[in-house]
Amino acid sequence: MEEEIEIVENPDGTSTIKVVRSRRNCREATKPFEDAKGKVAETKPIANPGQVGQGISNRR
Amino acid sequence: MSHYSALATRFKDRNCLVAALGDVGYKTVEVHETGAALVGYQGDYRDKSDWGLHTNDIARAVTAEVLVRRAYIDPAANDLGFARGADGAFGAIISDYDRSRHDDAWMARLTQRYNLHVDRKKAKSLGYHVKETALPNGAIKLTLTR
Repeated sequence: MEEEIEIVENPDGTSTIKVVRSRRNCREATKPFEDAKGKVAETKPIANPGQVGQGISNRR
Repeated sequence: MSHYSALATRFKDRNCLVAALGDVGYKTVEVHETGAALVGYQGDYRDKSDWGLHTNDIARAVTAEVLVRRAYIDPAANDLGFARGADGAFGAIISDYDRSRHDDAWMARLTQRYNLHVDRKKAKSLGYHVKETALPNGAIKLTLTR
């Protein structure tokens, strides 16, 4: 075995990646997994044309 | 139908998103290449120019590429959608009424499941052997070896 990587997926949606053993540098080993999951680390509201300036609606 | 709101996510892999939705209980998920209208509990739509306005014109409806129909959520629920944005990520479209069930904790759980599917897919493509271990705190550890 030349390479061992540990990835922990936490219940809050965050991830940690640890290189246990690798002949490559850590960055090269972890980058494919970081890239695959994207850079946005949390959910957040985004604007849409209908909600700008509006709060929570109680309409159903 | 209550007002729809959007949440940014980092979900870019559609198949992993569908699999993650299955993991959190939504086994029946619709996938539409060009999007389909989200339907509210009264069978109405929301206008894409103003997500607070009702419309019966399907051409003006808020759409999503990945949908969980309200029938699979709750009789009083509205459809849940995920629409691909300009950045390639699927934003979650959730009605305010359903925000209590699809809250931040639910989004976190969905994100955890999505991440696991992405990790497994990437690991497989890179030739790793994957061992999965559930941890006491609800986390899941993947040990990748090759």
